[in-house]
Amino acid sequence: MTAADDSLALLDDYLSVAMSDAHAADFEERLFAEAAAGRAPELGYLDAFFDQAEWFTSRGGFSSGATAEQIAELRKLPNVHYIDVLPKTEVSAWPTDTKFVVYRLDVDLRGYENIDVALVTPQGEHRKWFRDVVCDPADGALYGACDAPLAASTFRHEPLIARIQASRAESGKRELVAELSVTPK
Amino acid sequence: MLSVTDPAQADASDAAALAARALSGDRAAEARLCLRLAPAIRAFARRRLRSSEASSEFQQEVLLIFVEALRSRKLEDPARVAGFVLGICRNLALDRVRERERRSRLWELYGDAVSACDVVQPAQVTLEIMRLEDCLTELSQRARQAVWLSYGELLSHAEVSTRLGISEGNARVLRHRALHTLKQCVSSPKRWEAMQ
Repeated sequence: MTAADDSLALLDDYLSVAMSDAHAADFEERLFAEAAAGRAPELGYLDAFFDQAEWFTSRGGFSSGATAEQIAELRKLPNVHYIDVLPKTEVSAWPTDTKFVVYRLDVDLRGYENIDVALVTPQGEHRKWFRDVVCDPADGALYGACDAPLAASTFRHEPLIARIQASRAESGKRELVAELSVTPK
Repeated sequence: MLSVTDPAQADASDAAALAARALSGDRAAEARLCLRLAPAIRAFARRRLRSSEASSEFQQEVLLIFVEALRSRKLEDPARVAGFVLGICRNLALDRVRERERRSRLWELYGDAVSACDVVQPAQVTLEIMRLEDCLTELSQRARQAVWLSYGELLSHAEVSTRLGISEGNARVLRHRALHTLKQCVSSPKRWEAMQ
């Protein structure tokens, strides 16, 4: 643990009231002194984090994945682009005024748990994890939504393969359930 | 003399020097002190108050009192400016407790006759939010939830552990690790930023 990690952990303890009032009184003296001196980067980070977390309230929090119903609602809004990701999908450029991209990965994950999606290049180079995602309970597909610039890195930058791994709910056996490839058109 | 137009230089000025300049009427120094102290004031408020509106309101009130104190030269020792602002926070928190007690008596008497409405601010996506959105996918569901319950739903440490069904110690470690991972992740530029 670095000093910065310790400061972040202490500040989190303070804010979440894991720190006793007696310790908090001393901590506050240091906190204010460091803030006044402009030496409290962790304070700035967590302060901004509160505001960012508040923004996520409108999206239902920090959960990963969405349901078909939620995506259907989003698709009714303007400036929303929808992508249906099949085993081999070519993705065209979306309108420039697109703010939000919503998608459905065509897979049936009913009966599975602990679902992870790894994005890799066709050469096997790892790009990104989507951990512990949730599938739609009705059709078992994966649904998601994100801001257009973020979506562009997944759908429009380079060919990518989504490797969907999950554990069988009954046996716990880990499996590669599906691989869906996306290629920018 | 530090130039306020040079942020790097100005940021290096210590709190006492800034406070002394603020006391002598330097409005830029005054503003810089307020900017530096505002996150600490909000942290003080967040430990005690549940809503972000209440924390913002608390911060504004503290800074109003602070600026008034600077301009009327109530701050006697510039070297103690941090403690001075912390003192304002503590006094105001005490006042709030007294006020809350008074208000809860009023609510008991007249609460039925009062209705409130919330004003929802339009959401605005920023680069920082998109980075966070990107980084959150790398956390486990449990870690995301631990952080969300603390920073999104503003639950206390004990409440978070109860909601997650884990010990307070485990909830604490889970949150610390998640915050650290997110901090590391969001501080580095992402591939999609270069594509914009």
